[in-house]
Amino acid sequence: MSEFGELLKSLRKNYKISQRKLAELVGIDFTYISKIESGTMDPPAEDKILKMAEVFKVDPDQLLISAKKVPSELQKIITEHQDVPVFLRKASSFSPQQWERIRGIMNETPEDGEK
Amino acid sequence: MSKYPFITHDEMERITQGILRDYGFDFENKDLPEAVPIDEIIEFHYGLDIHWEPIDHFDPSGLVMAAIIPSDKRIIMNESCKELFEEKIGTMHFTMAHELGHWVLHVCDRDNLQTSIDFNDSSQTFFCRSRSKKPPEEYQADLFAGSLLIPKPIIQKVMGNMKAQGKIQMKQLYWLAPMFKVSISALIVRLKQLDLLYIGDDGTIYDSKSESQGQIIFDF
Repeated sequence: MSEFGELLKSLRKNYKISQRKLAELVGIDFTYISKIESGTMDPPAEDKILKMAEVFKVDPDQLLISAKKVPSELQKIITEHQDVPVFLRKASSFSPQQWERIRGIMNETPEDGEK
Repeated sequence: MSKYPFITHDEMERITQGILRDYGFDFENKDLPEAVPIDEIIEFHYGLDIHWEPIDHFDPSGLVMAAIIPSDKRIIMNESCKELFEEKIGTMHFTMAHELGHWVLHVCDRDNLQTSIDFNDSSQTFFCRSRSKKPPEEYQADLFAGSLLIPKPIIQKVMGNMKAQGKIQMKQLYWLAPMFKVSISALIVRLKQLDLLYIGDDGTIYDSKSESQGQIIFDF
């Protein structure tokens, strides 16, 4: 079972939404839900995942990331800023101390950076 | 002799009404029928998974509608029958209820703390074919399905109201079956079983089997 499949199944069970009901709400075939959950088929397209996030009232990124999909909003950022891909490539080798500093920078406003 | 215990009709009503009550499905205070949420009961009340896969290979000699693999707590609906199920939702509901019947009656009789088969035996699979000659456990699962999907208190009330308005007509049954989300044949079998209606070989509708045999019962 895939990570997304497991998450989907647990959300459905928590919210008591049947496969057929979810399929109807999201606009996909109900047999597909069963296959996603068992891991025999890949997660659906981003727009369907976003609809699922709406149904379950969860953070869409949580579902997208578990489906191993990059949200289209992030794809846009990656392609628009040439430093972002460089940063992402290096990200896995940052030390905890470097991450701490990065988090500090992320909490700053753009004005803080200009001081 | 069957390895599964005999279950009377009254006992079957008690089992299915107990399930509906435990799930919170109101079948006692309804004036109009409402479909029993069979897939929700299977998934959320019994914790069984519903999978859709092609399983024709389970029995190459017949049409396999669905199967239950008790050791995996999994009901498999035959994906090859998907079009049929989509066209006839009542058949899909009945098939699901039938598989649940195997779980409740033949696998995990929790009420009596008995199991009729070895729960951990992964080789044990019930697969349900569409055919006229059935073993006793298949009849029991059918009886369970009809009893669960068409609860006795509701159908008795509805038929009582309909009979009070005059002779029942076939078109009324065609109106009623989709409300329970069952097929017309499942409804007729259930009505006959509860002796609420009887349809003769020539298609004539009688209020009961005794009426069909010419024995009219008067209420005084």
